[in-house]
Amino acid sequence: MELADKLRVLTESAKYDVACTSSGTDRVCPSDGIGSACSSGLCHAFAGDGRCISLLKILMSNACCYDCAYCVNRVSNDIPRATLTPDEIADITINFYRRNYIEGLFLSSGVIGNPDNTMQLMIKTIELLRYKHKFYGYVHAKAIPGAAEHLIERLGMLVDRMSSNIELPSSDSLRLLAPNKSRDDVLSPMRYISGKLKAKTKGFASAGQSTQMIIGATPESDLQIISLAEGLYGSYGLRRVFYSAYVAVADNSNLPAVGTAPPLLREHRLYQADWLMRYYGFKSYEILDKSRPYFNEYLDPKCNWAVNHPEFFPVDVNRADYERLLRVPGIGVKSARRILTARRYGKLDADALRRLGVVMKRAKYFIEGGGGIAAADSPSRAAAALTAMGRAESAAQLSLFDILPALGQESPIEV
Amino acid sequence: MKRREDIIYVYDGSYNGLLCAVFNCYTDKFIPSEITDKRDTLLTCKYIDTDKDKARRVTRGILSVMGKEAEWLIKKAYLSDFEDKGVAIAEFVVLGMREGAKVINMLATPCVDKIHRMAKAVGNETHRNIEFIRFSEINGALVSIIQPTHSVLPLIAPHFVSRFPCEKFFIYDKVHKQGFIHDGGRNELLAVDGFEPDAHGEEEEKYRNLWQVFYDAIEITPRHNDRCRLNHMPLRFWEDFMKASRY
Ligand code: SF4
Repeated sequence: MELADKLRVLTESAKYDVACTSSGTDRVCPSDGIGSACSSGLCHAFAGDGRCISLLKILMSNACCYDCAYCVNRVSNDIPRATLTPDEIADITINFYRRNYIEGLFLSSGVIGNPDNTMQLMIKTIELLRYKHKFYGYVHAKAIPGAAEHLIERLGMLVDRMSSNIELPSSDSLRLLAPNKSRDDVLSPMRYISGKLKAKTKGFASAGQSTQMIIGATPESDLQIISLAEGLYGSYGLRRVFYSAYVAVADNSNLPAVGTAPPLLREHRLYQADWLMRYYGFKSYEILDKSRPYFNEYLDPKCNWAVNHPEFFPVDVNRADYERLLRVPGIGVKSARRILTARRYGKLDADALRRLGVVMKRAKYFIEGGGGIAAADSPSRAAAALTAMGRAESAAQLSLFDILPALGQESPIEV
Repeated sequence: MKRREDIIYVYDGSYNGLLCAVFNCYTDKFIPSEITDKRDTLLTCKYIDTDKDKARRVTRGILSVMGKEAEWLIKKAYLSDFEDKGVAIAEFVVLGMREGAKVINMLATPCVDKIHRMAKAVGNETHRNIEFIRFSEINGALVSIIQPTHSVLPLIAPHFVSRFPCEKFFIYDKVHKQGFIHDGGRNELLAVDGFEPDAHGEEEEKYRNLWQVFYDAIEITPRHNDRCRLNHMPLRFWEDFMKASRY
């Protein structure tokens, strides 16, 4: 197979992995090397689906010997197979990098024979980049489930970020759909990597660890998913949990039928909830609970929380502390900080708030001072108005996905 | 300080020139209706001489009273293409010399807000150009032609110098007619009137093709979303992409 064909096949096979950030680490280049990393991450292009392209995201091989039902690369699927050599991958990475097409490499692979063999080939590739080409750019590698710990350790010493995908949000689903992987195969690399990171092992995956799960292939509720994510952030110290709307690729009675639209709104809501947990001080049980285990279609999770907690409002923008400001729909992390700074020099009115980046059409229902119209009856009015806004937006096809920073980017969504 | 709407200052377009215009505001005791580097105008013009000493005095004032952060805001606003940047900077300095370092936080004051917006626009454009410029390898050197909306070349060059210490590269800003060259220890910003690169070779063609293959294959087609793509990657960059890398 020609190099271009191999690249096509192995990109097609890798594209359902969402993680594409190049963030989390800062590194300058020595005078005889090439490449650097900057902690905010860079996107060098946006694909036709609007997702950021930061890394050369490919599989080493898609000739996988496992049979995970939800995956295009499963051994029982009839697709073209290809494998790139370590030299080929290193060469493409460097030449794309020099042209400023990419920030680095995201290498993963189907299982080539067995997990250890696969990991050895991946290690060889990244060693070539680091030692022969003196490449100091960003590298993200996936730990292959079931690989030996000493190989995970070696790989970890070469890369900026490691991920091991949890794949599905429950072990029942995993048992049903990924017959060759046990829950332990999936969790043990994650546990091992998190141990290394907690021990602050120098040079080991300095941009931390992330994981991904597929949404909508299996029956877990939104509440189950965000609780799992919360648990992963807590116990494994993950940097990111990524959610990937399942694209129906397989004829299997345990999966949505081929052609079922990927649940994009649900994925969007999960990312919003994820931001609330990581940056806004929300707990999963505040966002959803047993009586309401699914997201509201028309209200984002923050508005939804706000209209259900009238006792918390109105918030006085000229007095409230940071945590309280953050709870107001229309005030984000940035605008909350700017409010704290600006109000030291005078009272804030509606114009000033707008200049500080507050989205008044949302915030006005929840604030006091600064042009708020918070009144005794406003929670219900707010709920009605915001829901109408949500409806109008989806009706006008003013797609929510336009305001969502491309998946995998780090910049906070201001909600 | 009062404004006079019937007079404009014309300076030579340099940073020092702009600082001298600010200096003049103090000696004239007013802020003119415009501070510009364009000479074609019907209003009464006062031509500002660029005098290094005066510029240095203004810089010293800014640094000692308003601080480093304020200076950085002013420099970034200066690199912007906004027509009203001259007056905005003069107003900001006049206010800052009275209020001190806290001026940068007076976000609810219009001229402070304006400076922040200008600096932010320049910051955003810098960021986008660092992300989206494409190099082509031509005769062993990496070459890039850009068309930024603000004069951001001086701000993007350091990123590539530190990233590609061993490469020879040249970035040409077609809009502001500036070039930046990096070759070994040489790092230079030059006024360049025009630049046509030589045709590229087979190697270059090979990697452009591979990039296009990758770009097309990475899209999840059931999620195609042109609006989102254009939001993030504005159309004005596409002409350059098409020439250098197709995307
Ligand atoms: S191990 Fe499973 S998920 Fe991974 S490539 Fe193979 S089939 Fe796909």
